[in-house]
Amino acid sequence: MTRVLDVDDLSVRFETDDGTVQAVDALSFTLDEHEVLAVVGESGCGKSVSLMSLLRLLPPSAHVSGRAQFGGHDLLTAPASRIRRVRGREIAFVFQEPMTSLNPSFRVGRQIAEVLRRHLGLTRRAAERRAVELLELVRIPAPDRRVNEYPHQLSGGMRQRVMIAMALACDPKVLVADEPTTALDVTIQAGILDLMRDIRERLGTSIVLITHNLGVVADIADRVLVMYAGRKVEEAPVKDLFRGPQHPYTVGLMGAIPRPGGADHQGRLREIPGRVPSLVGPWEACAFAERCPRADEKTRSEVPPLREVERGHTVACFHPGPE
Amino acid sequence: MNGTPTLEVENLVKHFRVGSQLLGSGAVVHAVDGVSFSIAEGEMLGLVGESGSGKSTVGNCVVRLLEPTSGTVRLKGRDITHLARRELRPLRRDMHIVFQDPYSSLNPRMTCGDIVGEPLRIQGLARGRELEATVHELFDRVGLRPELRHRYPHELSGGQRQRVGLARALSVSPSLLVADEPVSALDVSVQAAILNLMRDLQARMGFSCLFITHDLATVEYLCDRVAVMYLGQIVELAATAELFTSPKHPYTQALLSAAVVPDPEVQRTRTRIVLEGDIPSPLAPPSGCRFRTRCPLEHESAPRSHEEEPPLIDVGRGHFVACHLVHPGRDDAHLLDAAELA
Amino acid sequence: MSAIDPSVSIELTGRARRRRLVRKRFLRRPFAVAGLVVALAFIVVAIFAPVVAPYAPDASDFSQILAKPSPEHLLGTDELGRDVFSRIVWGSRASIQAGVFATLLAMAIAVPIGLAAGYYRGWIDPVIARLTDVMLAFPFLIIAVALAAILGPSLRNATIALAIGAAPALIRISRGEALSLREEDYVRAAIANGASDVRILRRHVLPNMLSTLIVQATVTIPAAIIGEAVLSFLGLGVQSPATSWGVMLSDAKDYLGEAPRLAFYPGMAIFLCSLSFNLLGDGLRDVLDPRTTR
Repeated sequence: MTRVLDVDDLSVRFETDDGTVQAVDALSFTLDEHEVLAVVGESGCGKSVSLMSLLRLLPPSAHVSGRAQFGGHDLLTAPASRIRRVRGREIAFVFQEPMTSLNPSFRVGRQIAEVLRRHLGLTRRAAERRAVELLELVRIPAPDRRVNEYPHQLSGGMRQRVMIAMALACDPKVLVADEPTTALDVTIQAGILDLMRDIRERLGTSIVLITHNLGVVADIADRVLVMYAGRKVEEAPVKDLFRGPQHPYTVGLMGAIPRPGGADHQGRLREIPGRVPSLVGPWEACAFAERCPRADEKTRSEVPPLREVERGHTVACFHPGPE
Repeated sequence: MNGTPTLEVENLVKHFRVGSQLLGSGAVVHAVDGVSFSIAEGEMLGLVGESGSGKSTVGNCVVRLLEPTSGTVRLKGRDITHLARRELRPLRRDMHIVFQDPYSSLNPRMTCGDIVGEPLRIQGLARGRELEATVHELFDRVGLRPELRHRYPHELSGGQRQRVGLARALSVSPSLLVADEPVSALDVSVQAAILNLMRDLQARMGFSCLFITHDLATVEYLCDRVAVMYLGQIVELAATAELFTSPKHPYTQALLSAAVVPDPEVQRTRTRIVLEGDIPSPLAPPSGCRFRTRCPLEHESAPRSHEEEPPLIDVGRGHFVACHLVHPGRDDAHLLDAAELA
Repeated sequence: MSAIDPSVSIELTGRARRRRLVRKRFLRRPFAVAGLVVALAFIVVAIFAPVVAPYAPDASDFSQILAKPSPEHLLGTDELGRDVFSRIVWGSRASIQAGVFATLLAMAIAVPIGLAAGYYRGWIDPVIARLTDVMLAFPFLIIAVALAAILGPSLRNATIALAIGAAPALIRISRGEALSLREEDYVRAAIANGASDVRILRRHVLPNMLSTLIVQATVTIPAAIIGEAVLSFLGLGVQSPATSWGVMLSDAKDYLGEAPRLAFYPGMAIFLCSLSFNLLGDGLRDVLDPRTTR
């Protein structure tokens, strides 16, 4: 499969009141055509920041380093004009809050058309026609009517579909969806996931799905990347990860979720004691050591490197393995 | 577990008027439209629904943060539906609520110790040294280091704040705790800790609990019985195990199907029910059966479902369903083989 | 999270740390700091006027009429031989007094009303809201002028008139705050606890409105200072022989040809004084907003 995105040694630092925060530390990953890569982690793990840094969507207090090969250019050093071309056209974002991502003052069709005119130079009429086609693509019923409505007239699920339509307008190579269904109801979420699967099949778009929901990951991802405190701690094909998680954090995450239809009513959910460490300062030990049942002298004094434990399955841990 | 149920709710209705208050015009939001259930002593009832289901409104009505439009709410046999504030005050000792948002449920200008001690202070149940000792013990009980009493909420993590909220709610040893999405705003690993904590506290203190959530998996883990709500009404009510093994209402089945399972083998091979359309607005709920606009079995239930609201009927074993296609005699709304949903 | 903190130091941590952060952020804003320094300077000068001013405000020296600035008279003298610098210093008293007291009085009127409207709602709210709207339809100065004219010219009446003129905007703001705060979960929790309204307002609502109110106060002060100047200029505020910047401006208008500096100096004083409070207010608003990152 063709490689679409190759990120190497990505680091993001923020200067804040409390000092330097290392939001992302030496992150490397790749993305192929047709692939759905899930980036999993809890709040503050750096999953959103890392993807946003690729398109310079971070505030000026962010310092980004590393390499990100896309379309023959390094996104991190490319000139601003190149980034503007890539944004929305070759790499498109869909964010979590459909309520606030759309401009309430403009009709939905016009907002989609704006993307088309800006990036593809379509005429107004052509852009509007294409907008209707896109609404159809994202399975919004009665698209020719909806195209003239304002965001507040649409439900949350519909708005998210509109966002996806806008993202797909220029047929991007990569769609980055940052918690796209977290703010939606369960039954609506099912529809959006269905849609994303459909998009991957029909258009061949690669998808980076940022989420904390392992169920969503199980539903749609091909490969999974688990992040903790700004670092990658585990990466594997989805079935391998769920069948045999190796990093104690991943093991902990899986045990923390109540599973419908399978929970042992007497058993307790697995808790991960402690809390996410502050990201101030560089790491000199394993970031997870404080909360890890397998911690020992070594993990408290050295940063564990990423090692391949099986084919395509890497872990950053000195004591990897299932429970 | 006999005697008066801790909570009895009968035909609870809550409508909100939207728009101009002076002129009395404006639309009506049918947030809750005829909900009935009861919770026995020491029982945990899960109230499940999506947006617009009215579940939070039910919770607010039960603790009288809102006054019901009609219907009755009885706490340990005492009718509290329309009690005035002053009469309600001493009864507030017996019921309490935990909120969803750990960031806005604690006063940023008060220390955590003060926050937890406030109910006791207001109810005049403890003072001075005794109060301090009780607060110390409460912190212990919810798994917080007692030194955190002197900290301000913004210095604590989301999970810790939720524990403070729990400590506050349980400080007066209420008979009823309403938990309104208490873990939805927390990270996954923290959720587990809070859920475990709630289970332990409930086992230890024996309070009844109305657990409001949109997450079915949580309900299965924690609750004895479950009520499923849609657009202001209960569509199904049953013991947890029963609901999950043989859901009868098409909406319940769709909900179970839509809940993603963290297991790729299972998740990708399950049969899915994807509902068409959006949840209708509570401003204009569909006539008759409110679910009919999205119901995959609508062709079978029409035209009756357009005109009549399905009543909540007992199909045995404490299992209640509100669906025209389900009645004793006919076993299931044949949407899906229940086994396929697991 | 280290587990070693002794209880004693934790007690200080919360509040002290927050204050330190606020101070740090404030110091990062040069304009706000400048505003604070200058505003404080004006206040100090006003308080210590007898010490700072070399001459009495009404001390006339007819041998030095309309004199240009000199070592004896730093800013020169006016048409009656009075030292302009001293008059500016003494005049600051009227302006600062009017500015600060009018603002305090306005808050004392507005906050309870706004609270009642926003927190209780019911029938009070629409009534207060509409009344406020009506008053807000008139420019603040027009109301102040009308009231001062009715009450009669004096610094005290001018202060009252300014307070009443400034009140509607403050009512609207405190109403807005009360309205949004009452929906906060911790207020609802307090209600669920059985807390009385008084307790809720005192412990939960007011403390959380404080930052907004502080900022509003610092921004109302300059408006009141200018208001006082206007009223005195129109003869509705401070009366001779007492002095204020507005009075000085009024006197200066007859001499604009010969000695425009007589208008310039009090004008600059008004400008600098109100600007400093404005910058201070802006800085405070920025710093106290929890969403600001720096």
